[in-house]
Parts: sequence; C-alpha cells; structure tokens
Amino acid sequence: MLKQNFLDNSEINKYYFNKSYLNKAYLNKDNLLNIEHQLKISKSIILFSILGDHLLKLFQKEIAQLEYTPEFKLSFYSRKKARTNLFIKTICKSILKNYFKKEIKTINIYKFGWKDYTLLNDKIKSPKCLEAIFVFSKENWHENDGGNIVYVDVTGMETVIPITNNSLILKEKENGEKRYLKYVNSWAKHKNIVLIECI
Amino acid sequence: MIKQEDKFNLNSIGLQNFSLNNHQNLNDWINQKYLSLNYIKKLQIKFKLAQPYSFLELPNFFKKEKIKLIEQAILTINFEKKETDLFSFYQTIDLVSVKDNVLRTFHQFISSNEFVSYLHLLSGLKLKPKVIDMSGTKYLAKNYLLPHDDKLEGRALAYFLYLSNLNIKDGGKLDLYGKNKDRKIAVINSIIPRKNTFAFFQVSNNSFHQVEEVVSNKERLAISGWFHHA
Repeated sequence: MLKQNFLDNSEINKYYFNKSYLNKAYLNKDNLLNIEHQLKISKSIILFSILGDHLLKLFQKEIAQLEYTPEFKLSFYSRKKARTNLFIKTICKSILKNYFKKEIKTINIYKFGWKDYTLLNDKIKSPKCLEAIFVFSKENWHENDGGNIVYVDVTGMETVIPITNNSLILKEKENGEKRYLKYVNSWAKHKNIVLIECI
Repeated sequence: MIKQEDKFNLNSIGLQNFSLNNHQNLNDWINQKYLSLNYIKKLQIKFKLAQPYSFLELPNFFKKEKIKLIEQAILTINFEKKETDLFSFYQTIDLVSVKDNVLRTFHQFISSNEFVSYLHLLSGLKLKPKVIDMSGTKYLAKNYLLPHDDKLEGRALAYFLYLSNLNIKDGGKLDLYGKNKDRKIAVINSIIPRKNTFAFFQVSNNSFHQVEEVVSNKERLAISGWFHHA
C-alpha cells in the first residue's frame, strides 16, 4: 500500500501515470485534442469517470479522512472546508498539467451537504481563467437534491452543471463570470458532495 | 429591565393624539386587542427591544372574516416559480395590479394613511402611504429563501401576513440572524408561520433573515412586501 509521506511528487506521478490510473479514454491523444476543441467552442466541458477505479478508491479514502470545518458567511456561503494533503494536491496538479496544460495556483476542498450553498456576490473577484473542479459524491447524487454548479456570465446567461461523481469540470471563465452552488435541499438527506477546486 | 434611553417617547410619535374613533378602517380590519392604547404602548417597547433587530409578530391580527376572504382570493391568483442562487419559491405579480376586489381592498387598506400611521405608532418609523410593494408568496416542499438583508434604497419595513399554519417540523420559519453570546453569526429569533399572524421588521444593513426550507408537503402561503421611508 502506498504511503504518501514516503513519496515525493515525482514518485507519485511515476507510479500513477505509468499505470494509466486515469480513465483510458482520456489518455488517447485524439480524445484530448477533441476535449481541447470542445472547451474552446462551448467554454465548458464535463469529463465523466475521470479517475480509474483504483485511483478513485484511494481518492475517496483520502477525501473521507480529511478534517472538514464548517464555514458560514452571510451573503456568501454555508459549507465545510478541508486542508488539502500532498496526495490530493499532487494528483490533481499532475492530471491538470500533463493532460490539460493547466498550472494550478490554488487548491480548495469543500464539502456540501443539506443546507449548504454558495451565493453570487459582487465582492468576489472573478477574473478570466481556466477553472478546474474535481467532483466526488460517494452516494448517488440526484438533480432533485440540489447542488448543481451554475456559472453566470456578465449578461446573466447561466451554464448549469449537474453533480456527477468522479467527474472533472473544465470551465473557461470570462472576466466577471461567477459561479454558485445551488442550495442542497432536504432530499439529499445525509449525502455529500466534495469539490476540489483548482484555480 | 428597560433602560431609560430605550423607552419610546410616545409624544414624539403622536400617540397622545391617537384616537380609535377617528380610525373606522382600522376597527373594521384589525382585531380590537391591537387597537388598545395600552397594548400599543407595550408593542412599541417590544419592537424597540426585539433581538436581533426591531421586529414584531402579531398573531390573530386581522378580523377572521377578512382573512378568510383574503385567503380565498389569493388562491385564485397565478403564482410563478422564481428561482435564483438565493431563492426558490412561487410568487404572484404585485397585488396593486390585480383585479380581484378583495385583494384590491386589502392593498388599499394596507397602504392607507390610517394603517401607515398605525405602523408608525408601533415602529416609530415615518413611512410613505399609498406606495407599498405587495405580492403573494407560496413555498412548497424544498422551497427556501437564503440569508439576505432586504436592503434596497427606500425600504423601511418588511411585512408578512401568513395565510397557512406550519409547525416547526414543517420548516418554513422566518429566521432572523444576529450575533450570539460568542459574537458569532447565528439565528437569534424565528417566526413560525401561523394563519393570520402579521409580522414586520425594520430593514437595515443588519436585517439578515432567511425562510428556512419547507421540508413537509404543507404549503407556506403569505402576502408580503415592503413599506418605504417617507
């Protein structure tokens, strides 16, 4: 079993990427070019089943072991936040750099359950950037549970992205384009969503 | 213990001149208890001292027969689904534009000089008569309104007339946010919707509130809106 503290970043990269721990569909050069093309045209793309089974299991274990602290700020959000660890950070960085040419400056990990949400707020700066969000939900998430990720551009046009376990959202954000997470309602019961936000 | 500086100067808001004989409309609409001068004095203090900010919850406020007619009338109006990052519920158009006689009369009464003066007595706020916002709202299962302050230029008082009965387990209560003993933001007070409760609070930079998600199959029906500064 891998112990993250015995590995530096290059070792983790070597281990996982040599063994094709990503979904094979995303390792094909033509598919990657197609993704890049689609992202250029539609400004957003969801890559389903992004991690292979083994890496997904390890990821879910890591996510479950993180310590989440509730955060509540009027007019902004209600959510739980966790500090990232080396394992999650390295894998996310590597996937985004190697396959989608994205360098990450910040990684934030948030958990959302019943009564959680984020709101649009003029005080949040939203510069033009490529935003990547890994989405995990161990239980079957249903659209009726709420939690959709919604991007709103400066004209008010919305792009709604439903929650799907083990997916990666890539979004070319325009200047001023904002994002919110729709209120998670009582139908979600004890289910949770974990977002790894890479900016 | 009420501090001297918290006491209302009743003379300054004209209570000494308030006479029920001159207010036939108030007598027609509002239950007698709320028109007694002694009770008004109590409500003035209650409003002023309410936590986390000035509000009043007035159960069984309107005459029973009026409420019955209003409830029947509002259910004939079309409610449209409203959904943003902040809310998910159903709302009518502004009731100033509806043709229904009962609702028009209710709108006229609520925006009348008499009722606005009455609210001035209770709240101490100088309000503009004739110009109010008023619409019907309906919350079904999973509907909510997340925390916000209602602050918009000119708004002085937010008001609600509840037209359905909910219990705490149904959700749908109005939560008022403020700072708790640990100086943390929390729900300090709540109003559970009961039919014929009229409630209002002073709009300010601190008047954060939410409508908790309705978690049962009960409908949360209300008429609500704002009075504006004179």
